[in-house]
Amino acid sequence: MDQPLHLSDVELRDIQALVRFGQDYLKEARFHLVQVNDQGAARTWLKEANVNCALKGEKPDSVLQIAFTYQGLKALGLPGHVLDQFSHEFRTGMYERHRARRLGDKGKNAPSEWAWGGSAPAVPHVLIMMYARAGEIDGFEASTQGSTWEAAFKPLNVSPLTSFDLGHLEPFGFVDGTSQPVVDWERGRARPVGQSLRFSNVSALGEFVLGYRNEYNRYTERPLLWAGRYPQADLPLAEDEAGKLDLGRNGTYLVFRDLEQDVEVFEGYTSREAGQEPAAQRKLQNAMVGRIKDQIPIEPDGPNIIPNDDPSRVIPEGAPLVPLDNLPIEGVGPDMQDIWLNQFTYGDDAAGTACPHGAHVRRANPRTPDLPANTRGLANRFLRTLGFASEDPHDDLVSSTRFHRILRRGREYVINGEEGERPSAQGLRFMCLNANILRQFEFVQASWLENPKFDGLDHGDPLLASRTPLWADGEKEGYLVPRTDGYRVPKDSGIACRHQGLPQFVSVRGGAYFFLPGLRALRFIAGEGAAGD
Amino acid sequence: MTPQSNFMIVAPLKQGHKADVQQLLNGLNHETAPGMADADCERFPFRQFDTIHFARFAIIDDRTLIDFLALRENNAGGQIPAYDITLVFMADCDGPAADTLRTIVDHERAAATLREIFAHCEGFEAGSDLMTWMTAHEHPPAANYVNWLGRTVGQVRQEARLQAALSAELGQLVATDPDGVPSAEAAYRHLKALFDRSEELHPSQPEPTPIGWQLANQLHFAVPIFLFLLPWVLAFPHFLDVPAPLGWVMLGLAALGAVALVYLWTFANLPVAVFLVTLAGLLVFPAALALALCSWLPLVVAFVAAAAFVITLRCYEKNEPEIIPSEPASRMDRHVEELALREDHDVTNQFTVVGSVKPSLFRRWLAIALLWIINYGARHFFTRGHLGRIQTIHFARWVFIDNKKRLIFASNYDGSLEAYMDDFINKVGWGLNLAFGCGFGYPRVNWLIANGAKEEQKFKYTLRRHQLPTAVWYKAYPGLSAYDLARNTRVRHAIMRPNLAPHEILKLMRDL
Repeated sequence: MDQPLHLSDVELRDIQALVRFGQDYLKEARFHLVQVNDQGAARTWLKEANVNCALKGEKPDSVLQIAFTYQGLKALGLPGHVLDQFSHEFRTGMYERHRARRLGDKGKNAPSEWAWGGSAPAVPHVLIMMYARAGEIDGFEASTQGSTWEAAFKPLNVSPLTSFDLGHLEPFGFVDGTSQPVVDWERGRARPVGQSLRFSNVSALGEFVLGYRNEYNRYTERPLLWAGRYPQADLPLAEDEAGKLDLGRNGTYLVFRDLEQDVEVFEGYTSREAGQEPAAQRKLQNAMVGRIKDQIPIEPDGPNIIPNDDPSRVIPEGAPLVPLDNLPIEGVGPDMQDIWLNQFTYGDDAAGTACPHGAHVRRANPRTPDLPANTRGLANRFLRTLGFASEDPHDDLVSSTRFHRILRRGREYVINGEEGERPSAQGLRFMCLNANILRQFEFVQASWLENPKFDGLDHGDPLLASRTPLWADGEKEGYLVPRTDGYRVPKDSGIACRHQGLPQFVSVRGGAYFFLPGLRALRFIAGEGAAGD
Repeated sequence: MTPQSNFMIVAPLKQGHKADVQQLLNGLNHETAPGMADADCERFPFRQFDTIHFARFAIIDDRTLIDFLALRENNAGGQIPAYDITLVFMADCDGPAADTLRTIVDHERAAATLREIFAHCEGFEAGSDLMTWMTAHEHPPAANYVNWLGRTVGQVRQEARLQAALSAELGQLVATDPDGVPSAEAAYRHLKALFDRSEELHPSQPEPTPIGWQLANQLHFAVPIFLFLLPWVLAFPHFLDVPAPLGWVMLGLAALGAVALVYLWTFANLPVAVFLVTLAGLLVFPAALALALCSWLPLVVAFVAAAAFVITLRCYEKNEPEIIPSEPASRMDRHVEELALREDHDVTNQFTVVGSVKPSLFRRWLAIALLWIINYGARHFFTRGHLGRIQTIHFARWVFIDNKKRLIFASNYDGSLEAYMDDFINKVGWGLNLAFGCGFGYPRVNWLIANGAKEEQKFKYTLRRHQLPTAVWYKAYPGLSAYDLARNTRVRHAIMRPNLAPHEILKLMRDL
């Protein structure tokens, strides 16, 4: 009854390359945000575009990827009954005011302040992503655009977004992209909900690609079409509903947030708080991020030694602040570098003295299993299921992580100022892929990063949360209302080191929700076989 | 200890008065935050009623009643039930609900506003006595949950002030310490001294627990336990006659029960332990009795009764249609917008849903029985900061309306709705299925607790569809989560103790 589980080359040929590869070897990238100028011309351009797929093979010298906003799909003439089946978040957009409040896009980060995407007319229609080897991006751009580009698209009021290769670092100087979920391309397993006792780094294919089973062992909602209505369409069949064509299959949602990082403010604040001492400043920065900035020699009996470890190794940059786990974690390794960076959880650090609860990487990926950490034995499990037998006030405050993973595909950028001057702007073109924007990206952003009460805290994410104060009515009651600009570093002595008045280190300059279709769906969107019966 | 209580006044609106009431209610809200009550509002100054934890007004206008038409295709009726659009006014408060209602009625402006609101309801006349009328329209909950039994609004505020003061003082201490960081011991001494000399930080003495309430509560706990144990008591003479080898089995069972009781007591609480062991005793009772009587009869009777229930239940679970109609996107978008408007202003959110019980007598009785069990559990076991694994709910209740054909669920929870749904599905899916499995339009549940909520998207969609915009919502302690309240209580307990051991000092410091 079930479809063959193994993913065939047919499917991989249909999935855009970005889903499977970060294309890190292509050092240059350019992202065009455009609106449809002429529907016919745009459709023709899209039909002829040579979009790369996820099949493994020889590495191409350049990669082209295409994604659409809701407005874009509308402008290209996708019928209303199809549009209506996209997710609510995608249809209403990142700038929608209640969503913005929840995501922390308020104050200086409010959509009204964005350079692009902050209102319906400012939303791009199409995101055209170009990746090329160093020095070759201009040529690739010209050949990709061809002669019909101008007729097809008009640019938004922003120039194409550039990227800049900072090596493996992001602008604040930390290693970027250290941890990513491992996608279960083999579709080998389904795990019952609420049962897992250990964190796993492997995610169901359906978490990142539509049309396949997700972590709930269900198919995420997506546009399905009656096969009879579109006899010309070359679209895959839905696995879960007979007689339906699956427009979502092999596609996914792409979340784009244009983040500007204020390096000067970050360095300045941490330096002041650390009393101008470089080592202490490093330590504070590490405590905010949750990983170490510079490699340090390993101590022979230190906490980071794991079985069969190489005693002469260094603790690599990007290593976690908590000791490595002695037991392997599914989806981490066998590469030793990966093990040194990712074989850990926070299960034994309930007090947050090794890595603060509020540290960016701990909030963004808390590495929690379904049941509370350290659940052991049948009776204990039974009591834990009922909510009893808690060992620490922080027990079970954070949701199970596996339902809230994202695949990050962002690129750093630096816009240089005058010769020899500091960069005029730098940051991250944050992009992530997920099948369910609400449950994955928005959950991480709103409930984990922005929510000041995450894990019993009283402040938001030190890097990404908004500093706009909360509802302040509590002050009338004479107690302090949580400040959103604090940071707490728990210490072994019990007395936490508290930092106040964190400035906004990262601000949002633009953003939108895109649909990154499968290649057959892309041709359908471009008008091929879309004529109804 | 002052126990918490609640009231919910339910009254049908006069035909065509919905918009007027809505406008009236909007006038009680903050201008900048839709749905959030202005606590100092001229017309209804919520803050002055200092026994109220949470209060809300909502208009019950179920947009999903049309779903009943789907039954027509299944040849099972298919009439859209006709219910009046109903106004609900509810609150969770300290002490008897009647006292809080009396205070409101005695407040001139609040009473006038209530009269103005209720004037849009059926049967409310200019001459009606407000108190009598409201009491007559009260609907008691079928199940009710209080995050922390006995913690009053006054206590919440005092503890929050205490924690804030100690926390600020500790911050000062660290900032002015010559070595950078004082030792935890020294900091504790300092804070303790501060507390001891600051009268204004001293919490007021808790009121004595009302004897009547205590007695009623203990009876409520003990009577079902007694009824469960009754067969053992009645059968006891037979057990004495059991021949030797079987007698050992009986003794073993009793010993096992005792061990389980002690074990559960250490990790949970006494009522949970007593209840679970009694329940286990009830399950093995037919076997024990069969042994004692050397007869199969008790086993046969138990088996037939259980089988009859299971077969009926499974018949219903398998054959009832799962009715989850997909609404046009534009309509659903408008509905979600209407709800989202009122969400995520404070760290806590309100949740009001209404739904119909599945249209059969079996389902109605099952819903009543299951909610009774949930209420029993919430009242006696989950009184210290968590309902199952969920630690973010302040108050929650299930109330039958319209002759137990419909059910309102109203709760106050911390965080975003998506996080709440996530907890529902991943942490207490079994409990949600118990509570809502008899609901019309709920995803199919098997064996009372399986599946259901695990249909993630169907579940979220169903709950969102049945959710109602809460017209006015008041919370007495904005900015504080349930975790904060528990933390502040820990701080008060610790600082009031005459002395603390080093590991207790460490815990106190972590909470500041």
